[in-house]
Amino acid sequence: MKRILTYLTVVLMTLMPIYAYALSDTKTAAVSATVTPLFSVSVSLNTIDFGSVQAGSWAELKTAGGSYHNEVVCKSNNGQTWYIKIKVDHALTSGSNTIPLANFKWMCAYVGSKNPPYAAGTGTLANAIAYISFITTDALVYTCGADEKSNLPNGIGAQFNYGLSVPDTQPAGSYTATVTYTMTETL
Amino acid sequence: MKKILAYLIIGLLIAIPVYAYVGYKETKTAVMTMTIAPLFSVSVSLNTLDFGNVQPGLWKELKTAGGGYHNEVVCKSNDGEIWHLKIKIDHALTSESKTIPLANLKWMCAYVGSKNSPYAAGTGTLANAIDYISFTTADALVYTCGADEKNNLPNGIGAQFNYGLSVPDTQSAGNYTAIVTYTMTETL
Repeated sequence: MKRILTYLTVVLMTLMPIYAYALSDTKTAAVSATVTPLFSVSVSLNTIDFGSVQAGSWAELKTAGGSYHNEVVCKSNNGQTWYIKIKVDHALTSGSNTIPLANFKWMCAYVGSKNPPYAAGTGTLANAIAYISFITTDALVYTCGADEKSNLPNGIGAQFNYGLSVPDTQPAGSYTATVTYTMTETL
Repeated sequence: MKKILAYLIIGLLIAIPVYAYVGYKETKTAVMTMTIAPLFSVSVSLNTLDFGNVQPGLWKELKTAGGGYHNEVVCKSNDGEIWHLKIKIDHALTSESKTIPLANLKWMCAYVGSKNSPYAAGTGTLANAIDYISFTTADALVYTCGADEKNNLPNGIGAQFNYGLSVPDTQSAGNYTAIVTYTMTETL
């Protein structure tokens, strides 16, 4: 009897692990996604039209509700410091006549977030808030704040005014030039 | 004379059984044993879920296999037990210190079917409606096999998966990664 019980016990102990063991197998897959850099500058109004200006007068452009003329919006998700720069290709020219480059001016009076709660910019204006003469090389306007490196979805807006002083000896004509706004991660 | 006959009869009676016995025969036995090992395996047709370049604010789907699904998970078993298919992810898609919310990465098991002729649809139960479901870091049940799928050799049962990713419109640029795990198990 003891032998039978012993054999039964041995058999049961051998079988139990087999039936108590639940099988399992796993495989893995690697997930990847590249969120592309979004780095763009846009201008709310791409014409700086002083209209008719008399010789010897000063004209300002503040067409947007009387406070600024156009807004340059900078968007980035690249996580790096970016800068706004401005320049003009040449002095205002009509035929062979030019208005001195220094007479054409810009002012960046305000920078602020386009994302709620629309706070003022946390970066640094390169100049005091005053009219600055255009030059034909890039002039630094603004350096973004640390929390503006990534500023999606709506970006950071810089508001510009423009002024033109027409010499009192200036010949009549239609004077033109092209202003360039640059958003760059390079100082 | 009588003695001779007697001896002859006795002799014949002794000899006849000896010569009437036709051929020796003897048997022995040997016990043959063989164990069919349990075959229990899961495989993945494509072990990369690469969304490639995705812009902030966009939704992107992976259905690279002829536009129907992205990869197929094949479950094989001859163990005769109910098995389940589960899925999970190790963490949210991460690029250095940046993450895409876990809920934004989704999976869908749109079809389960036999890989054995006649390639019928699965007889088991999908755990969810056919829709995109957010990944979790804990195992999520995908499928419980049917009674006739407990043993499904030679080719097993295939579950076809699609994947989707919603990138927040504020998401920083970067290469985001994670690991998905598919588990075939007899434990619910």
